[in-house]
Amino acid sequence: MQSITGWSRREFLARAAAAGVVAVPTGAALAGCATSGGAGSKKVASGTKSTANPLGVNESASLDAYIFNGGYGHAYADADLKLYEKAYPKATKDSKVETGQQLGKALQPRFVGKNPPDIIDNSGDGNLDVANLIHNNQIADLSPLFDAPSIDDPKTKVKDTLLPRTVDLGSFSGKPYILNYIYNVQGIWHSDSLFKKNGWEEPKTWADMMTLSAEIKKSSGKTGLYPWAFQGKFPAYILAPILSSAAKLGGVDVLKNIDNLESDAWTSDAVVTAGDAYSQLVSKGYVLPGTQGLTHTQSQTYWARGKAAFIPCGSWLRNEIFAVTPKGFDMVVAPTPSLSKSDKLPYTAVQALAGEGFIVPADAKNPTGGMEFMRIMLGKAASTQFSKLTNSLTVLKGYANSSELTDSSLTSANAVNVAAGANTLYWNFGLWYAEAEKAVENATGQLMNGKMSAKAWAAACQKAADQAKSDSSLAHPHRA
Amino acid sequence: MRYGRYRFIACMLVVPLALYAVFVLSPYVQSIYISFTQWSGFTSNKQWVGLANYRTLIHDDTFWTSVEHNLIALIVLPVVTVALGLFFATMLNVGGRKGKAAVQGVRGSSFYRVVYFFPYVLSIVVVGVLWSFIYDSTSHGLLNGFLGWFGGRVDWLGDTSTAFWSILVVMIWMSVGFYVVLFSAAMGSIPAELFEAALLDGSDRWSTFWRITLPLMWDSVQVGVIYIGIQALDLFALVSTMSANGDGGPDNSTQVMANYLYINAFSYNKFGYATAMGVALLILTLLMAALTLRFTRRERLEF
Repeated sequence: MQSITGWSRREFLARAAAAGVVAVPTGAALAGCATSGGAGSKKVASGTKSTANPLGVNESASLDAYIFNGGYGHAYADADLKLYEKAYPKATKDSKVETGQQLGKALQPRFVGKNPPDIIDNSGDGNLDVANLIHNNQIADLSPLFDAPSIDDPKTKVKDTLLPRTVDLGSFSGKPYILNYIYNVQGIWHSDSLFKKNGWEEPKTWADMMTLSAEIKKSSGKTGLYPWAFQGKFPAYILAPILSSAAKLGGVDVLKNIDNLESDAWTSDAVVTAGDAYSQLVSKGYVLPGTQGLTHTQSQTYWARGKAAFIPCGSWLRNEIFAVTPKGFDMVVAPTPSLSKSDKLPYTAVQALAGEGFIVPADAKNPTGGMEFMRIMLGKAASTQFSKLTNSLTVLKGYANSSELTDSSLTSANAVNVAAGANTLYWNFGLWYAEAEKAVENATGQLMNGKMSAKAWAAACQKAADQAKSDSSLAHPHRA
Repeated sequence: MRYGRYRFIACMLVVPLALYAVFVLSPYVQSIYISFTQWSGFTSNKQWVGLANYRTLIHDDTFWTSVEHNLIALIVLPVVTVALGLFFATMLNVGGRKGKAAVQGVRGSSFYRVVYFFPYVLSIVVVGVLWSFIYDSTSHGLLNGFLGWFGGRVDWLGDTSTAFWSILVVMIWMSVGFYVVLFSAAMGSIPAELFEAALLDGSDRWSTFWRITLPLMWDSVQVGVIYIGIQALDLFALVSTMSANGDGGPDNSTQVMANYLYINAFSYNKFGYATAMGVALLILTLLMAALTLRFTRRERLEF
């Protein structure tokens, strides 16, 4: 069996392997031509500042926006670009909204080549690691935007028209770099119509939750309805209510300590108690059997099809499973139940955080244009348009009472948010420490699989936090 | 004219070799350099750290868990896949005994031949997503619905003890078809007289397989083992689409080197460290290919 090259297949394989043809490992080819340098960026000149143009946008420069094409789509950004073009009619020529997914991979070459878009909606799986980019001075400081007058009222600064802590949440070491545009209320969801039909009320304490769960569980053989489902394959979802409950029990310091990598942040009583409470859902059989092996779409679909009464999620849930939700389901969100009678924060406290981070790269050609685009997005016209298109809230204060907005998830999220007032909960741990977050998620999966006690879970999380603290290649921002 | 012939060959090779050098060899060289640096992947400055990445690698428990999983796959995948491939190929080509022709496949073999190849033509991501539904861990899932008749339910991808094996089964399911075709081709090239002679001598299927079929197609088996062995050292796509959190979960119980490398690069932005892993993976793969070639060496049979 001699081939024309004079090599047998054996020899050919041997040589090919030696030359690395057969054995192309994913990693070795990964870097591509990454070691080459990049061309310098050519910034457009800045325009003249005026009342209508407080940032000083170059009126003839084009704008290049890059929008994550996920649950919210990009129709809203297309509409926003129209508003931008209306304000700057001379700039229409090459302006565009590009869309994509896996932004880290899609935009890495443009960052290395110093040719990034002017504004990026950095979201979704595989997005850009902003903490790292900020660490390397590759993201523009958004202070000019937040200090500029708002588009609806020239007397008010943009930062004063936004929901609490929007600016803080996007700040690193005191400087704002990220505009988190969408206001997500993260809580526990149920079907309003199902609860009304059965005469159930949303449980406001953990004891009530356990009582109602026991009642639902009793008849689950007949009804097929279990008390809880959660997105088992993605433990971050169930981690959210655990930390919310912990913060209500022990106060905001619980979350601050976690963000600041304090030495007993995770092993504190509040966190362990919360972890223990939620793990009882599993040990008492209150979860849909097998929910630990489900993705977010699978578990949420079962929930919408009446296989579980509760599911933890953010307010993007409505859009994510709209197609499989029965008519008249009326999904609504509620805060996490209080764990004790002596909780430091009221029941109405809720994890509500601005998400969907928009950034302006420092090396962009038209960074001022990117910020002006943000200013337009933060107007009433753009926000109402956004809510109509996506049934989600933006970070703009007080626009969502409009009678045009009627969806049950949107109105319940707005009501929960208004009731919470200043008691909104958030944490930055996952954003700041990606690797430690993975370890925490892994441990949380084991906690909710009955394979780890709450104590062991807390210890594993603490270990991950301690490792992040001692890693000198990471920036360690401080949450005040 | 030998001189002209070499010149011709050289001319024909310039373009492919240049492409190969630019797009394959140069990234390798760059990778080795990057593996000695600390690099976030988003700037053009890299900090030289010498062997630090490799030192971290040696003490990284998750990396060794990944290596362990790859080694399990390296043993299980070739053995099971090649055995199944050989079995099905034999049945399809020389297993039948009825009719006038002495050597033929079992009844309906042309139909099976197509069916076996189906999984292989599906995109690997499609396979991963489809099987994620088959492995649905509630009692509404396909497999669990079946187990439910006997009162059982398994968490498949949600449990640390079953997740990796569940993924290996999918890998075998989708690979077997290719080996059936590969081995069928090899069997087809064995002269029918040899099988007929064996039959006349009273050889049964079992001894025909071991004494005639296998020795005459040893080359193909060897290639098959190396090829599936390389896939066993990869496994990235299936782990990435099927595992919990998409990152080798639950709790790294399905973690493999390629996926851990990917997470380090694209989730943790440790491109330097990830590249060091890539280099380690390269060395392991070359070692595997060399060892396989060494240990499967046999005398060639000419026919």
